Amino acid sequence: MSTDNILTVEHLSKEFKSGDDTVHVLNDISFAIERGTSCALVGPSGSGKTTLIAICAGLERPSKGAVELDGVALHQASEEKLARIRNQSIGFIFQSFQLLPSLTALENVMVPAEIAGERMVRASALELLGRVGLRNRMYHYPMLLSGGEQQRVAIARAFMNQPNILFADEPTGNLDAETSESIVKLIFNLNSMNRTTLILVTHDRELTEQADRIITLKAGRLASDVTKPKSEGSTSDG
Amino acid sequence: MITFWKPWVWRMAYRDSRRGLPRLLLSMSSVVLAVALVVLAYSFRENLLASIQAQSKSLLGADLALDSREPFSKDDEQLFHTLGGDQSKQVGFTSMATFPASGDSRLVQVRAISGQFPYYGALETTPPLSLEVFHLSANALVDENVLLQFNAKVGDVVKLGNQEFRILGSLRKIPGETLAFSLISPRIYIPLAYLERTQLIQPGSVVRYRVFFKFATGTQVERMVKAIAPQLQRLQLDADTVSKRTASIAANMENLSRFLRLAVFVAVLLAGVGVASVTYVYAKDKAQAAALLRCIGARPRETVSVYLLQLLFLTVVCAAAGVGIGVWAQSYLPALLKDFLPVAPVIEISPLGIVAGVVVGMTTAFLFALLPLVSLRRISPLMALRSSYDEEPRARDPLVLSIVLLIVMLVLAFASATLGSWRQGLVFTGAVLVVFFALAILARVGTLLVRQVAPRFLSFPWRQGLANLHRPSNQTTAVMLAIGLGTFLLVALHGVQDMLLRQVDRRVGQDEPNLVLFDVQNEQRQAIGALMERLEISRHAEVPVVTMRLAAIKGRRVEEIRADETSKIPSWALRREYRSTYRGRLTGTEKLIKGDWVATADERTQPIAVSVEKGIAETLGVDVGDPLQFEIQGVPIDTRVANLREVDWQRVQPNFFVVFPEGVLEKAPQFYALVGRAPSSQASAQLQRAVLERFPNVSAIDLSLILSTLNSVLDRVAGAMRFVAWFTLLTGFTVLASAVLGSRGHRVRESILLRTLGAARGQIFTAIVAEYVFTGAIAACAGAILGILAGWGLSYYFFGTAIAIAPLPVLAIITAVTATTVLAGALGCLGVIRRPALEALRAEA
Repeated sequence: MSTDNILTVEHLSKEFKSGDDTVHVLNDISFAIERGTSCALVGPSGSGKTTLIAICAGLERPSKGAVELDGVALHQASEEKLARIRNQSIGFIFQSFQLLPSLTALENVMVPAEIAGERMVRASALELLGRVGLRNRMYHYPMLLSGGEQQRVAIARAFMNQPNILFADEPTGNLDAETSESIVKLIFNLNSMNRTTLILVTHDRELTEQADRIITLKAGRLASDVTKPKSEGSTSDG
Repeated sequence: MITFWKPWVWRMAYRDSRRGLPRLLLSMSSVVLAVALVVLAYSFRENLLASIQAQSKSLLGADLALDSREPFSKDDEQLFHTLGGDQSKQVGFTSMATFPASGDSRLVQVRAISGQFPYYGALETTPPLSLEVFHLSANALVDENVLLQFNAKVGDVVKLGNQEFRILGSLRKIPGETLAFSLISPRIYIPLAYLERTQLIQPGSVVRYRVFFKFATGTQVERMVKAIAPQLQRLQLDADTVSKRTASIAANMENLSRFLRLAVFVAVLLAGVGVASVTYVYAKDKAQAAALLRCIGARPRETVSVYLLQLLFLTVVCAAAGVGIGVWAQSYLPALLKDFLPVAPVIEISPLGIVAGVVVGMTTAFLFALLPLVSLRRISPLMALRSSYDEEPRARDPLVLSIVLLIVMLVLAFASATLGSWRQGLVFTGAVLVVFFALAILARVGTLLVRQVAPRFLSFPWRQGLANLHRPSNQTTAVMLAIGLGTFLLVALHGVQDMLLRQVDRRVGQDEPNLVLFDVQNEQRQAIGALMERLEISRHAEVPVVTMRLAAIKGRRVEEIRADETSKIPSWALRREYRSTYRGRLTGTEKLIKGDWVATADERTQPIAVSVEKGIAETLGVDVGDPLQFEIQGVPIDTRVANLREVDWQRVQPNFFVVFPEGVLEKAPQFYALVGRAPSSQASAQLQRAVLERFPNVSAIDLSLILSTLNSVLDRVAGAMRFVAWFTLLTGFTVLASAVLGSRGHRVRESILLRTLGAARGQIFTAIVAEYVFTGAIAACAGAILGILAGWGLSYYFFGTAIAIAPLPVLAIITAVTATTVLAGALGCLGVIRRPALEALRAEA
């Protein structure tokens, strides 16, 4: 495996039991993501996108195959180790924002650092809130924020522990077009500033177009894997 | 499984608790009640036992009391003289008391006293008693219950035998005796100097002679009693010392306290169910947040710890409030149980009570909260990714099973420690589990049945109300269990009381005797017979009664057995006067269970074959063939157990421990018991008045006296137990309140949806009322069914037959419980309907 790759997926399969039947959600998927790049994972509903990033982020274990993130074999790691990796190496942005309703915006941003046992995290959280333009709303509870504002808080939280890789699952799926645009900009700006690897699950064409690479899934299989050339493009169909 | 040492866990717990925790605090109010009850029960025990110790001398009223079943002999008097000190004498026996003003009479316990007794404590009377005045003339102190019963008052006259006494005071409390005892055997005190004039002590009368001593301060009474033990043995005197009396009363009070602690523990378990139910909803609400925490790197045990910390904090707050309420309420408990207490407990703050409340309450709350919370550690972080995430079915959580097992073990340990026996603890735990499971199953089955049958003819709001029982997070089963348990206790209590009275009433059938005249002398038989005939009272039997004492069992002298500390035969069985009869056949209330019936015998061919009642045979440790020696007025008579009988003691007729064959006792000193059937209670009262006028030594018991005594005793007992039942029901309603609060979010969403679909507020309100009508009615019916079954079980166990319980009071209990449930539920939901749809929509968005 290349040392430039932050994420390597090899012959990954995932199946679920549904009554007496076995549902094959992912079938023999292999790819590698280069550090510092962005990748959009696209495909119709039910094609296995969310399951794939869940496995890549150590939220789910594969039925077969191997996943390596930053040199750690996630498919073999203990729950303890997975928790540590999720906390320190991975950032998440969700479609439904997933803010803790009982915490203020500032506190929501601080949570990942606090779980890591860090102290004096308030300044970093404030700075992040400032970067997403919500410093003046830091004491607001999520229910007092609009959808776009909630997603900004979630983005700030995702960058709090300076992750190596960021997983975003339909980050604009619950937002209107105008808000989506600003969120997309924000994600990519922060991503380039922090040199974070970004993996997006999306149906949003604008978001897809901004990614360095587009992986398409169909019925649990890799349908295509397109990397945009920085100067000269290269394509490989799966 | 738990990680409390990470600072972020504490911070997260604190931050997350700022919103919603006050509501959760209200939901946990059952813990407040549970802790208060435990503090109350344990403090009561501590205070009571401390008061018994502090007032120990007043429990006996003297330093020492010596008892005899015979009038004191010269030797006895010599011993008393040697012992010295200040002395008072008391002669006690049962007799009829008549109130000439009304002509009413009843059986009472007469106590004729001399001297300054009680030396410690006082006979509490209204007006306050002056012993000097009391002993001056023919005065009487009469139990206040008797005065109330016959509408008599201080200054009236009461007649005992041939002597009239002026009622000097109404007797409220006797040191060391409970008020409940006075219901069964009301007491009348008279001066000993006037006893002779009553002429009530006749041959065969059962009389207890007592002498009370007060010694100089510092006298070692226990040592003194030990020193004179051989003399006491020889003179057949029984010694009662302060420590002996204190130990015996403390043991009785410990039993009362045990009952109270166990009853309270049931309420604590119910509160535990309430906590589990509230926490279940809480854990469901927090599942998304827990999944997110897992997503961003929190470990499973840290996630559980965040929410467990919050619940622990709530439990501490609830425990503190419970301690406050328990300490405040403890001064009211003695008033509630005053009929059963021999002393008025001095109420002080009991540290043990507080510790017990906090430990029992918090351990219960913690373990029951842990049950649903541990599931959070298995929450998949994927839930944060997809709200519709369906977890693959998992095997049963072994940790949950371990906690359940731990709870059962702790219940068993608590019950065993309280009852002082593993076996009894096991029975208690088993019974609690059976009742809890049976109620839960009955409630579940009831709900399903109603859901199957009712929708066909119900309007929309009622169908909606019924469907609401199956709403997620509704905690229907927990609420029904809580309300059902309270109803169960109320119905079972009512059932037992009703059943006992009806059993007694029913046993005295159309042709059964309902009146017994005791202590009828041979020369009085004919005249009383004529009186009965004149009043059309049928005479069923004339039963001869011969009083005798046990002298030896299986060749061993009674004195020797009494001196043997390893003997398991209780002292009362050895010392008592056996009132025996002789006849050639079994009566309708008896059944031969072992050996052969011997109808006649010759007094010269001893041992005489006698019939012994099964229970007393077990107490004395004898079986068919064993020898027993009796003494009749000092004359020994050797007998052998020929058979064992089972006796139905519940009939209104004289029954006997020992029955001799004909041909042996005919010439012994004897009196008679006349058994008859009065056509009405008026005829019975008329006969008693006429008999007492001419033969004051004769005592009478009739069915109305038995029923009224039984009823008043049961009323008092049920009163105290009903307190526990109401508290259980109150705990049930706190669980209901928790459920209402817990499901508020669902209700608001549901209300919005229904209103969006065009439902009027009235329809939504009707649906809410319908939901609680179904909840209350199904729970109350489940509780009532179980209560009736328990009543039947007890009836069958005690009487051998099951009897139907009167349906109207049961229906009244069901209606009252349902109405209260509707009221509590509907009130809790008022805000849901009042809230404007738009505001609710925004808040929910």
